[in-house]
Amino acid sequence: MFNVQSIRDDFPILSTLMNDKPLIYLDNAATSQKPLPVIEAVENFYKTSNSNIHRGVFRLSEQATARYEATRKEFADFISAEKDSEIIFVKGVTEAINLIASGFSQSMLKEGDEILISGMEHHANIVPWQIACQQTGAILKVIPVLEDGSLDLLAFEALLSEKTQLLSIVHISNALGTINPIKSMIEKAHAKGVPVLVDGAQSAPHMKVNVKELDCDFYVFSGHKLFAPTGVGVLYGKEKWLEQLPPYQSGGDMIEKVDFDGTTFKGIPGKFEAGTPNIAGVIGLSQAIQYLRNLDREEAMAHEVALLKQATEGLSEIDGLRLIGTAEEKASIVSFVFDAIHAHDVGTFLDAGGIAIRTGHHCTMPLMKRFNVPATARASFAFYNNSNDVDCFVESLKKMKSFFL
Amino acid sequence: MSETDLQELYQSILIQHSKSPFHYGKLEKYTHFSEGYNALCGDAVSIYLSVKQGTIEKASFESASCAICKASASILLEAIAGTSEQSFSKMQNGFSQILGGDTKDESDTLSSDILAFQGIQQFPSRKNCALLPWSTLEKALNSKIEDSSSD
Repeated sequence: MFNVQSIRDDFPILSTLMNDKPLIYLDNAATSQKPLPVIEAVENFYKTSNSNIHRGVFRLSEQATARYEATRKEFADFISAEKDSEIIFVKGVTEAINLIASGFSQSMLKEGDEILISGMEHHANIVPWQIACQQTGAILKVIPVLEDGSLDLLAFEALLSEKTQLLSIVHISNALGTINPIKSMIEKAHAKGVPVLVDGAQSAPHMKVNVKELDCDFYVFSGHKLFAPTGVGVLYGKEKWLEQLPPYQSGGDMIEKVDFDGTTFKGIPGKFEAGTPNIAGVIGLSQAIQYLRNLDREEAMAHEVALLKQATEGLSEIDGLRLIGTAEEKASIVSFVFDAIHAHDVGTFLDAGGIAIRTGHHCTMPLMKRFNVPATARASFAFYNNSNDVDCFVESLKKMKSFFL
Repeated sequence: MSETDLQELYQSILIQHSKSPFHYGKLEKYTHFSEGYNALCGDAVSIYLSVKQGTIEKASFESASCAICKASASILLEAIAGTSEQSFSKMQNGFSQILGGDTKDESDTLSSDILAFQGIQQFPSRKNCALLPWSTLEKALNSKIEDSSSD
Protein backbone atom coordinates (compact mmCIF):
# COMPACT_ATOMS: atom_id res chain seq x y z
CA MET A 1 0.00 0.00 0.00
CA PHE A 2 1.36 3.41 -0.99
CA ASN A 3 1.81 5.38 2.24
CA VAL A 4 1.78 9.01 1.19
CA GLN A 5 2.09 10.29 4.77
CA SER A 6 5.36 8.49 5.38
CA ILE A 7 6.66 9.82 2.06
CA ARG A 8 5.63 13.37 2.99
CA ASP A 9 7.66 13.02 6.18
CA ASP A 10 10.77 12.61 4.00
CA PHE A 11 10.29 16.08 2.49
CA PRO A 12 10.93 18.69 5.21
CA ILE A 13 9.50 21.61 3.24
CA LEU A 14 6.06 19.98 3.15
CA SER A 15 5.61 20.62 6.86
CA THR A 16 6.41 24.34 6.66
CA LEU A 17 3.96 27.24 6.65
CA MET A 18 3.44 29.68 3.80
CA ASN A 19 1.50 32.85 4.46
CA ASP A 20 0.54 31.34 7.81
CA LYS A 21 -1.01 28.29 6.11
CA PRO A 22 0.43 24.81 5.63
CA LEU A 23 2.31 24.89 2.32
CA ILE A 24 0.53 23.09 -0.49
CA TYR A 25 3.11 22.74 -3.21
CA LEU A 26 1.61 22.20 -6.66
CA ASP A 27 4.40 23.48 -8.87
CA ASN A 28 6.24 20.23 -9.30
CA ALA A 29 6.52 20.61 -13.05
CA ALA A 30 8.70 23.68 -12.43
CA THR A 31 10.83 22.04 -9.79
CA SER A 32 10.36 19.23 -7.31
CA GLN A 33 11.03 19.33 -3.59
CA LYS A 34 13.96 17.41 -2.14
CA PRO A 35 13.82 14.50 0.32
CA LEU A 36 15.98 14.65 3.44
CA PRO A 37 18.57 12.08 2.22
CA VAL A 38 19.33 14.31 -0.78
CA ILE A 39 19.66 17.44 1.37
CA GLU A 40 21.87 15.60 3.84
CA ALA A 41 24.06 14.07 1.14
CA VAL A 42 24.87 17.51 -0.25
CA GLU A 43 25.48 18.91 3.22
CA ASN A 44 27.67 15.98 4.25
CA PHE A 45 29.67 16.16 1.06
CA TYR A 46 30.68 19.72 1.87
CA LYS A 47 31.23 18.91 5.53
CA THR A 48 33.37 15.83 5.12
CA SER A 49 34.22 14.97 1.52
CA ASN A 50 34.64 18.16 -0.51
CA SER A 51 37.44 18.08 -3.03
CA ASN A 52 37.85 18.44 -6.77
CA ILE A 53 37.64 15.36 -8.97
CA HIS A 54 39.82 13.80 -11.68
CA ARG A 55 42.83 15.75 -10.38
CA GLY A 56 44.16 15.02 -6.92
CA VAL A 57 46.28 12.02 -6.01
CA PHE A 58 45.27 12.48 -2.39
CA ARG A 59 42.69 10.23 -0.82
CA LEU A 60 39.99 12.89 -0.44
CA SER A 61 40.01 13.66 -4.15
CA GLU A 62 40.11 10.00 -5.08
CA GLN A 63 37.04 9.40 -2.95
CA ALA A 64 35.16 12.32 -4.50
CA THR A 65 36.08 11.07 -7.97
CA ALA A 66 34.90 7.60 -7.11
CA ARG A 67 31.52 8.86 -5.88
CA TYR A 68 31.08 11.05 -8.93
CA GLU A 69 31.87 8.22 -11.31
CA ALA A 70 29.77 5.76 -9.30
CA THR A 71 26.79 8.06 -9.89
CA ARG A 72 27.39 7.81 -13.63
CA LYS A 73 27.02 4.05 -13.35
CA GLU A 74 23.99 4.32 -11.05
CA PHE A 75 22.29 6.65 -13.51
CA ALA A 76 23.11 4.37 -16.44
CA ASP A 77 21.43 1.53 -14.53
CA PHE A 78 18.53 3.79 -13.55
CA ILE A 79 17.61 4.39 -17.21
CA SER A 80 18.92 1.04 -18.54
CA ALA A 81 21.65 2.60 -20.65
CA GLU A 82 24.14 0.14 -22.08
CA LYS A 83 27.31 1.96 -21.08
CA ASP A 84 28.30 4.35 -18.29
CA SER A 85 30.13 6.48 -20.85
CA GLU A 86 26.79 7.28 -22.48
CA ILE A 87 25.90 9.36 -19.40
CA ILE A 88 27.08 13.00 -19.58
CA PHE A 89 26.60 15.24 -16.56
CA VAL A 90 25.25 18.66 -17.52
CA LYS A 91 23.40 21.53 -15.82
CA GLY A 92 20.03 20.29 -16.96
CA VAL A 93 17.85 19.80 -20.01
CA THR A 94 18.54 23.29 -21.36
CA GLU A 95 22.27 22.72 -21.44
CA ALA A 96 21.84 19.19 -22.81
CA ILE A 97 19.77 20.38 -25.77
CA ASN A 98 22.14 23.28 -26.41
CA LEU A 99 25.02 20.81 -26.44
CA ILE A 100 23.34 18.63 -29.06
CA ALA A 101 22.07 21.55 -31.15
CA SER A 102 25.50 23.15 -31.15
CA GLY A 103 27.10 19.85 -32.15
CA PHE A 104 24.62 19.26 -34.96
CA SER A 105 25.08 22.84 -36.11
CA GLN A 106 28.87 22.52 -36.22
CA SER A 107 29.24 19.10 -37.70
CA MET A 108 26.12 17.85 -39.41
CA LEU A 109 23.54 20.38 -40.53
CA LYS A 110 23.65 22.01 -43.93
CA GLU A 111 21.37 24.24 -45.93
CA GLY A 112 18.00 22.69 -46.70
CA ASP A 113 18.23 20.06 -43.92
CA GLU A 114 15.30 19.87 -41.55
CA ILE A 115 14.94 19.60 -37.78
CA LEU A 116 11.55 18.36 -36.61
CA ILE A 117 10.08 19.47 -33.29
CA SER A 118 6.48 19.81 -32.06
CA GLY A 119 4.12 22.65 -31.25
CA MET A 120 4.17 21.78 -27.54
CA GLU A 121 7.91 22.14 -26.96
CA HIS A 122 9.41 24.11 -24.10
CA HIS A 123 11.43 27.12 -25.26
CA ALA A 124 14.53 25.06 -24.39
CA ASN A 125 13.66 22.71 -27.26
CA ILE A 126 12.81 25.50 -29.70
CA VAL A 127 15.33 28.30 -29.40
CA PRO A 128 18.56 26.21 -29.65
CA TRP A 129 17.20 24.74 -32.91
CA GLN A 130 16.23 28.16 -34.25
CA ILE A 131 19.79 29.28 -33.65
CA ALA A 132 21.22 26.10 -35.23
CA CYS A 133 18.99 26.72 -38.27
CA GLN A 134 20.11 30.34 -38.53
CA GLN A 135 23.72 29.22 -38.46
CA THR A 136 23.38 26.49 -41.07
CA GLY A 137 20.44 27.33 -43.30
CA ALA A 138 18.54 24.30 -42.01
CA ILE A 139 14.77 24.58 -41.61
CA LEU A 140 12.75 24.07 -38.44
CA LYS A 141 9.56 22.04 -38.97
CA VAL A 142 6.82 21.81 -36.37
CA ILE A 143 4.33 18.98 -35.71
CA PRO A 144 0.94 20.61 -35.04
CA VAL A 145 -0.96 20.17 -31.77
CA LEU A 146 -4.62 19.08 -31.90
CA GLU A 147 -7.43 20.73 -29.95
CA ASP A 148 -7.24 18.21 -27.08
CA GLY A 149 -3.54 18.86 -26.65
CA SER A 150 -2.29 15.71 -28.36
CA LEU A 151 0.04 15.67 -31.36
CA ASP A 152 -1.25 15.43 -34.92
CA LEU A 153 0.41 12.11 -35.64
CA LEU A 154 -0.66 11.99 -39.28
CA ALA A 155 1.01 15.34 -39.82
CA PHE A 156 4.05 13.97 -37.99
CA GLU A 157 4.44 11.12 -40.46
CA ALA A 158 4.01 13.46 -43.38
CA LEU A 159 6.65 15.82 -41.98
CA LEU A 160 9.30 13.10 -41.65
CA SER A 161 11.37 13.24 -44.81
CA GLU A 162 14.78 12.34 -46.19
CA LYS A 163 15.76 15.92 -45.31
CA THR A 164 14.99 15.43 -41.60
CA GLN A 165 18.24 15.24 -39.64
CA LEU A 166 16.70 14.94 -36.16
CA LEU A 167 13.37 14.61 -34.40
CA SER A 168 13.54 16.47 -31.07
CA ILE A 169 10.42 15.82 -29.07
CA VAL A 170 9.08 16.27 -25.56
CA HIS A 171 8.00 13.09 -23.78
CA ILE A 172 5.49 14.81 -21.44
CA SER A 173 4.32 18.37 -22.08
CA ASN A 174 5.07 20.63 -19.11
CA ALA A 175 2.20 22.96 -20.02
CA LEU A 176 -0.54 20.42 -20.86
CA GLY A 177 0.50 17.14 -19.26
CA THR A 178 0.11 15.27 -22.56
CA ILE A 179 2.15 12.06 -22.71
CA ASN A 180 3.38 11.69 -26.28
CA PRO A 181 3.56 8.22 -27.86
CA ILE A 182 7.31 8.48 -28.21
CA LYS A 183 8.00 4.78 -28.63
CA SER A 184 6.01 4.58 -31.84
CA MET A 185 7.29 7.98 -32.95
CA ILE A 186 10.87 6.78 -32.50
CA GLU A 187 10.09 3.65 -34.53
CA LYS A 188 8.63 5.73 -37.35
CA ALA A 189 11.53 8.16 -37.30
CA HIS A 190 14.08 5.34 -37.30
CA ALA A 191 12.29 3.68 -40.20
CA LYS A 192 13.27 6.78 -42.18
CA GLY A 193 16.77 6.88 -40.74
CA VAL A 194 16.04 9.88 -38.48
CA PRO A 195 17.64 9.99 -35.01
CA VAL A 196 15.51 11.07 -32.05
CA LEU A 197 16.16 13.30 -29.05
CA VAL A 198 13.64 13.03 -26.22
CA ASP A 199 13.16 15.87 -23.71
CA GLY A 200 12.49 13.91 -20.55
CA ALA A 201 12.35 16.81 -18.07
CA GLN A 202 8.77 15.99 -17.08
CA SER A 203 8.67 12.24 -17.70
CA ALA A 204 11.48 11.00 -15.47
CA PRO A 205 9.78 12.21 -12.24
CA HIS A 206 6.57 10.39 -13.16
CA MET A 207 7.62 7.15 -14.80
CA LYS A 208 10.42 4.67 -15.18
CA VAL A 209 12.51 5.54 -18.22
CA ASN A 210 14.15 2.75 -20.19
CA VAL A 211 16.29 4.17 -22.99
CA LYS A 212 17.17 0.74 -24.31
CA GLU A 213 13.55 -0.21 -24.78
CA LEU A 214 12.70 3.17 -26.30
CA ASP A 215 15.77 2.94 -28.53
CA CYS A 216 16.02 6.76 -28.50
CA ASP A 217 19.30 8.30 -29.63
CA PHE A 218 19.33 10.97 -26.94
CA TYR A 219 17.29 11.40 -23.76
CA VAL A 220 17.80 14.44 -21.51
CA PHE A 221 17.04 14.98 -17.82
CA SER A 222 16.98 17.81 -15.28
CA GLY A 223 17.98 16.70 -11.80
CA HIS A 224 16.01 19.38 -9.99
CA LYS A 225 12.72 18.04 -11.36
CA LEU A 226 13.82 14.59 -10.25
CA PHE A 227 14.09 15.39 -6.52
CA ALA A 228 17.81 16.26 -6.84
CA PRO A 229 19.48 19.68 -6.45
CA THR A 230 19.31 22.42 -9.08
CA GLY A 231 22.14 22.80 -11.56
CA VAL A 232 22.66 19.14 -12.35
CA GLY A 233 21.20 17.01 -15.11
CA VAL A 234 22.02 14.22 -17.50
CA LEU A 235 22.40 13.88 -21.22
CA TYR A 236 22.09 10.29 -22.35
CA GLY A 237 23.32 9.66 -25.87
CA LYS A 238 24.04 6.51 -27.82
CA GLU A 239 27.77 6.02 -28.02
CA LYS A 240 27.89 6.32 -31.81
CA TRP A 241 26.30 9.78 -31.61
CA LEU A 242 28.38 11.06 -28.73
CA GLU A 243 31.53 9.95 -30.55
CA GLN A 244 30.50 11.95 -33.61
CA LEU A 245 29.53 15.19 -31.88
CA PRO A 246 32.27 17.78 -31.30
CA PRO A 247 32.94 19.14 -27.78
CA TYR A 248 30.48 21.77 -26.55
CA GLN A 249 32.53 23.68 -23.98
CA SER A 250 36.27 23.32 -23.77
CA GLY A 251 38.99 23.85 -21.22
CA GLY A 252 40.18 21.86 -18.25
CA ASP A 253 39.47 18.18 -17.74
CA MET A 254 38.10 17.55 -21.24
CA ILE A 255 41.52 17.28 -22.86
CA GLU A 256 44.05 14.54 -23.40
CA LYS A 257 47.02 16.76 -24.28
CA VAL A 258 47.28 20.50 -24.83
CA ASP A 259 50.05 21.99 -26.90
CA PHE A 260 50.20 25.30 -28.76
CA ASP A 261 50.52 23.20 -31.89
CA GLY A 262 47.21 21.54 -31.17
CA THR A 263 45.06 19.86 -28.55
CA THR A 264 43.57 16.41 -28.38
CA PHE A 265 40.37 15.70 -26.48
CA LYS A 266 39.33 12.97 -24.11
CA GLY A 267 36.92 10.35 -25.34
CA ILE A 268 33.36 10.24 -24.05
CA PRO A 269 32.10 11.14 -21.51
CA GLY A 270 35.03 13.41 -20.52
CA LYS A 271 34.97 15.23 -23.86
CA PHE A 272 31.70 16.89 -22.84
CA GLU A 273 32.54 17.73 -19.23
CA ALA A 274 34.84 20.74 -19.32
CA GLY A 275 35.78 22.47 -16.08
CA THR A 276 34.91 21.53 -12.52
CA PRO A 277 31.42 20.03 -12.62
CA ASN A 278 28.62 20.32 -10.07
CA ILE A 279 30.09 17.58 -7.88
CA ALA A 280 27.79 18.12 -4.91
CA GLY A 281 24.84 18.19 -7.32
CA VAL A 282 25.86 14.84 -8.81
CA ILE A 283 26.12 13.37 -5.31
CA GLY A 284 22.66 14.74 -4.54
CA LEU A 285 21.42 13.18 -7.79
CA SER A 286 22.85 9.85 -6.68
CA GLN A 287 20.75 10.02 -3.49
CA ALA A 288 17.67 11.08 -5.44
CA ILE A 289 17.77 8.06 -7.71
CA GLN A 290 18.50 5.88 -4.70
CA TYR A 291 15.35 7.34 -3.13
CA LEU A 292 13.33 6.57 -6.26
CA ARG A 293 14.70 3.03 -6.39
CA ASN A 294 13.37 2.44 -2.89
CA LEU A 295 9.96 3.63 -3.96
CA ASP A 296 7.41 1.44 -5.68
CA ARG A 297 7.23 3.50 -8.87
CA GLU A 298 4.14 1.71 -10.13
CA GLU A 299 2.25 2.58 -6.97
CA ALA A 300 3.57 6.13 -6.98
CA MET A 301 2.33 6.56 -10.52
CA ALA A 302 -1.08 5.08 -9.68
CA HIS A 303 -1.29 7.56 -6.79
CA GLU A 304 -0.52 10.46 -9.15
CA VAL A 305 -3.12 9.22 -11.63
CA ALA A 306 -5.69 9.22 -8.80
CA LEU A 307 -4.75 12.81 -7.90
CA LEU A 308 -5.09 13.83 -11.54
CA LYS A 309 -8.54 12.24 -11.72
CA GLN A 310 -9.65 13.95 -8.49
CA ALA A 311 -8.36 17.33 -9.69
CA THR A 312 -9.89 17.00 -13.16
CA GLU A 313 -13.27 16.10 -11.67
CA GLY A 314 -13.06 18.93 -9.13
CA LEU A 315 -12.19 21.50 -11.76
CA SER A 316 -14.93 20.33 -14.11
CA GLU A 317 -17.48 21.40 -11.47
CA ILE A 318 -16.34 25.02 -11.60
CA ASP A 319 -18.31 27.17 -14.04
CA GLY A 320 -16.26 29.47 -16.22
CA LEU A 321 -13.16 27.29 -15.93
CA ARG A 322 -11.77 25.69 -19.06
CA LEU A 323 -9.13 22.96 -19.08
CA ILE A 324 -6.35 23.37 -21.64
CA GLY A 325 -5.06 19.92 -22.49
CA THR A 326 -7.50 17.05 -22.28
CA ALA A 327 -5.59 14.35 -24.14
CA GLU A 328 -6.35 10.77 -23.22
CA GLU A 329 -2.78 10.07 -22.11
CA LYS A 330 -1.87 12.62 -19.46
CA ALA A 331 0.55 12.97 -16.57
CA SER A 332 -0.56 14.63 -13.32
CA ILE A 333 -0.69 18.19 -14.65
CA VAL A 334 -3.82 20.35 -14.99
CA SER A 335 -3.66 23.56 -16.97
CA PHE A 336 -6.68 25.85 -17.04
CA VAL A 337 -8.06 29.31 -17.69
CA PHE A 338 -11.05 31.29 -16.46
CA ASP A 339 -13.14 33.33 -18.89
CA ALA A 340 -13.07 36.39 -16.68
CA ILE A 341 -10.09 36.00 -14.33
CA HIS A 342 -6.50 36.18 -15.49
CA ALA A 343 -4.13 33.37 -14.50
CA HIS A 344 -1.90 35.78 -12.54
CA ASP A 345 -4.75 36.84 -10.35
CA VAL A 346 -5.62 33.17 -9.79
CA GLY A 347 -2.03 32.49 -8.73
CA THR A 348 -1.87 35.40 -6.30
CA PHE A 349 -5.20 34.46 -4.71
CA LEU A 350 -4.17 30.83 -4.17
CA ASP A 351 -0.80 31.90 -2.78
CA ALA A 352 -2.51 33.81 0.01
CA GLY A 353 -3.89 30.43 1.11
CA GLY A 354 -0.43 28.81 1.00
CA ILE A 355 -1.09 27.07 -2.33
CA ALA A 356 1.75 27.35 -4.85
CA ILE A 357 0.77 26.94 -8.49
CA ARG A 358 2.40 28.19 -11.67
CA THR A 359 0.82 30.88 -13.81
CA GLY A 360 2.02 32.26 -17.10
CA HIS A 361 3.13 30.81 -20.42
CA HIS A 362 5.23 28.00 -18.89
CA CYS A 363 8.04 28.75 -21.36
CA THR A 364 5.76 27.51 -24.14
CA MET A 365 4.66 30.75 -25.81
CA PRO A 366 3.91 29.16 -29.23
CA LEU A 367 1.65 26.64 -27.48
CA MET A 368 -0.23 29.46 -25.68
CA LYS A 369 -0.70 31.13 -29.06
CA ARG A 370 -2.00 27.82 -30.48
CA PHE A 371 -4.72 27.79 -27.79
CA ASN A 372 -5.27 31.53 -28.12
CA VAL A 373 -4.58 32.28 -24.44
CA PRO A 374 -1.94 34.62 -23.03
CA ALA A 375 -1.31 32.40 -20.04
CA THR A 376 -2.76 29.51 -18.06
CA ALA A 377 -2.82 28.52 -14.41
CA ARG A 378 -1.21 25.14 -13.85
CA ALA A 379 -1.18 22.73 -10.95
CA SER A 380 1.24 19.81 -11.19
CA PHE A 381 1.25 16.96 -8.71
CA ALA A 382 4.07 14.77 -7.40
CA PHE A 383 3.76 11.47 -5.55
CA TYR A 384 4.09 13.35 -2.22
CA ASN A 385 0.92 15.37 -2.83
CA ASN A 386 -2.21 13.99 -1.24
CA SER A 387 -5.92 14.20 -1.77
CA ASN A 388 -6.22 16.95 0.85
CA ASP A 389 -3.93 19.09 -1.34
CA VAL A 390 -6.31 18.62 -4.26
CA ASP A 391 -9.37 19.39 -2.11
CA CYS A 392 -7.84 22.62 -0.77
CA PHE A 393 -6.83 23.64 -4.30
CA VAL A 394 -10.32 23.11 -5.74
CA GLU A 395 -12.04 24.77 -2.75
CA SER A 396 -9.74 27.77 -2.98
CA LEU A 397 -10.60 28.22 -6.66
CA LYS A 398 -14.29 28.24 -5.77
CA LYS A 399 -13.69 30.89 -3.10
CA MET A 400 -11.64 32.88 -5.57
CA LYS A 401 -14.55 33.13 -7.99
CA SER A 402 -16.67 34.95 -5.47
CA PHE A 403 -13.74 37.23 -4.61
CA PHE A 404 -13.18 38.42 -8.18
CA LEU A 405 -16.63 38.11 -9.75
CA MET B 1 1.39 38.04 3.09
CA SER B 2 -2.10 37.21 4.24
CA GLU B 3 -5.69 37.42 3.13
CA THR B 4 -5.77 40.97 4.48
CA ASP B 5 -2.91 41.80 2.13
CA LEU B 6 -4.93 40.19 -0.64
CA GLN B 7 -7.85 42.51 0.11
CA GLU B 8 -5.37 45.35 0.22
CA LEU B 9 -4.01 44.44 -3.23
CA TYR B 10 -7.31 43.82 -4.92
CA GLN B 11 -9.17 46.81 -3.54
CA SER B 12 -12.61 47.13 -5.03
CA ILE B 13 -11.52 50.23 -6.92
CA LEU B 14 -8.90 48.20 -8.72
CA ILE B 15 -11.30 45.39 -9.51
CA GLN B 16 -13.77 47.94 -10.88
CA HIS B 17 -11.14 49.40 -13.20
CA SER B 18 -10.14 45.96 -14.42
CA LYS B 19 -13.73 44.92 -15.10
CA SER B 20 -14.70 48.06 -16.96
CA PRO B 21 -11.53 49.90 -17.87
CA PHE B 22 -11.47 53.42 -19.29
CA HIS B 23 -10.25 53.88 -22.84
CA TYR B 24 -10.33 50.22 -23.76
CA GLY B 25 -10.14 49.39 -27.48
CA LYS B 26 -8.28 50.58 -30.52
CA LEU B 27 -8.36 54.23 -31.66
CA GLU B 28 -9.65 54.70 -35.18
CA LYS B 29 -6.87 57.15 -35.90
CA TYR B 30 -3.67 57.31 -33.98
CA THR B 31 -0.22 58.85 -34.37
CA HIS B 32 1.67 56.73 -31.88
CA PHE B 33 1.52 53.06 -31.05
CA SER B 34 3.47 50.47 -29.13
CA GLU B 35 3.14 46.93 -27.80
CA GLY B 36 4.63 45.83 -24.52
CA TYR B 37 5.23 42.30 -23.25
CA ASN B 38 5.93 40.88 -19.87
CA ALA B 39 8.45 38.16 -20.67
CA LEU B 40 7.78 36.48 -17.35
CA CYS B 41 4.15 35.70 -18.09
CA GLY B 42 3.43 36.50 -21.72
CA ASP B 43 1.05 39.33 -20.95
CA ALA B 44 0.66 41.86 -23.75
CA VAL B 45 -0.52 45.48 -23.82
CA SER B 46 -1.06 47.68 -26.89
CA ILE B 47 -1.24 51.45 -26.48
CA TYR B 48 -2.65 53.83 -29.10
CA LEU B 49 -2.15 57.60 -28.88
CA SER B 50 -3.35 60.49 -30.96
CA VAL B 51 -0.91 63.35 -30.34
CA LYS B 52 -1.27 66.83 -31.83
CA GLN B 53 1.28 69.55 -31.18
CA GLY B 54 2.51 68.00 -28.01
CA THR B 55 -0.95 67.29 -26.61
CA ILE B 56 -2.14 63.72 -26.16
CA GLU B 57 -5.66 64.23 -27.48
CA LYS B 58 -6.75 60.62 -27.29
CA ALA B 59 -5.36 57.49 -25.73
CA SER B 60 -6.53 53.90 -25.65
CA PHE B 61 -5.30 50.41 -24.90
CA GLU B 62 -5.97 46.76 -25.54
CA SER B 63 -4.53 43.98 -23.42
CA ALA B 64 -4.45 40.31 -22.65
CA SER B 65 -3.44 40.75 -19.06
CA CYS B 66 -4.30 40.46 -15.40
CA ALA B 67 -6.52 42.69 -13.27
CA ILE B 68 -3.59 44.71 -11.93
CA CYS B 69 -2.21 45.48 -15.36
CA LYS B 70 -5.66 46.43 -16.74
CA ALA B 71 -6.45 48.67 -13.79
CA SER B 72 -3.07 50.35 -14.08
CA ALA B 73 -3.64 51.03 -17.80
CA SER B 74 -7.14 52.33 -17.15
CA ILE B 75 -6.00 54.83 -14.51
CA LEU B 76 -2.96 55.88 -16.55
CA LEU B 77 -4.89 56.53 -19.75
CA GLU B 78 -7.65 58.35 -17.92
CA ALA B 79 -5.01 60.68 -16.48
CA ILE B 80 -2.96 61.14 -19.64
CA ALA B 81 -5.73 61.91 -22.13
CA GLY B 82 -5.85 65.63 -22.76
CA THR B 83 -2.49 66.40 -21.16
CA SER B 84 0.88 67.21 -22.67
CA GLU B 85 3.57 64.68 -23.50
CA GLN B 86 5.71 66.22 -20.78
CA SER B 87 3.21 65.44 -18.06
CA PHE B 88 3.92 61.73 -18.50
CA SER B 89 7.25 61.79 -16.69
CA LYS B 90 5.64 63.64 -13.79
CA MET B 91 3.00 60.92 -13.59
CA GLN B 92 5.68 58.23 -13.74
CA ASN B 93 7.36 59.75 -10.71
CA GLY B 94 4.08 59.88 -8.88
CA PHE B 95 3.31 56.26 -9.70
CA SER B 96 6.70 54.93 -8.64
CA GLN B 97 6.23 56.71 -5.30
CA ILE B 98 2.90 54.97 -4.81
CA LEU B 99 4.41 51.59 -5.76
CA GLY B 100 7.13 52.26 -3.21
CA GLY B 101 4.46 52.70 -0.56
CA ASP B 102 3.96 56.46 -0.38
CA THR B 103 0.52 57.42 0.81
CA LYS B 104 0.26 60.46 -1.42
CA ASP B 105 0.79 61.08 -5.12
CA GLU B 106 3.14 64.07 -4.82
CA SER B 107 2.93 64.76 -8.55
CA ASP B 108 -0.77 65.42 -8.06
CA THR B 109 -1.43 64.31 -11.63
CA LEU B 110 -3.22 61.02 -11.11
CA SER B 111 -6.68 60.29 -9.77
CA SER B 112 -6.90 59.16 -6.17
CA ASP B 113 -7.72 55.67 -7.49
CA ILE B 114 -3.99 55.26 -7.97
CA LEU B 115 -3.58 54.94 -4.21
CA ALA B 116 -5.04 51.46 -4.52
CA PHE B 117 -1.64 50.36 -5.87
CA GLN B 118 0.02 50.83 -2.48
CA GLY B 119 -0.97 47.28 -1.61
CA ILE B 120 1.36 45.89 -4.27
CA GLN B 121 4.37 46.30 -1.97
CA GLN B 122 3.59 42.93 -0.42
CA PHE B 123 3.59 41.30 -3.86
CA PRO B 124 6.95 42.07 -5.50
CA SER B 125 6.34 39.66 -8.38
CA ARG B 126 3.27 41.67 -9.38
CA LYS B 127 4.97 45.07 -9.69
CA ASN B 128 5.81 44.37 -13.32
CA CYS B 129 2.11 43.81 -14.01
CA ALA B 130 1.40 47.35 -12.81
CA LEU B 131 4.33 48.84 -14.70
CA LEU B 132 3.73 47.22 -18.10
CA PRO B 133 1.24 49.85 -19.39
CA TRP B 134 3.61 52.60 -18.27
CA SER B 135 6.67 51.26 -20.06
CA THR B 136 4.52 50.60 -23.13
CA LEU B 137 3.17 54.14 -23.15
CA GLU B 138 6.70 55.47 -22.86
CA LYS B 139 7.71 53.42 -25.90
CA ALA B 140 4.61 54.61 -27.76
CA LEU B 141 5.49 58.26 -27.14
CA ASN B 142 8.88 57.60 -28.75
CA SER B 143 7.43 55.87 -31.77
CA LYS B 144 5.64 58.30 -33.97
CA ILE B 145 4.18 56.47 -36.92
CA GLU B 146 4.01 58.06 -40.38
CA ASP B 147 0.51 57.10 -41.37
CA SER B 148 -1.86 58.34 -38.72
CA SER B 149 -4.82 56.20 -39.71
CA SER B 150 -5.09 52.57 -38.83
CA ASP B 151 -6.11 49.99 -41.35
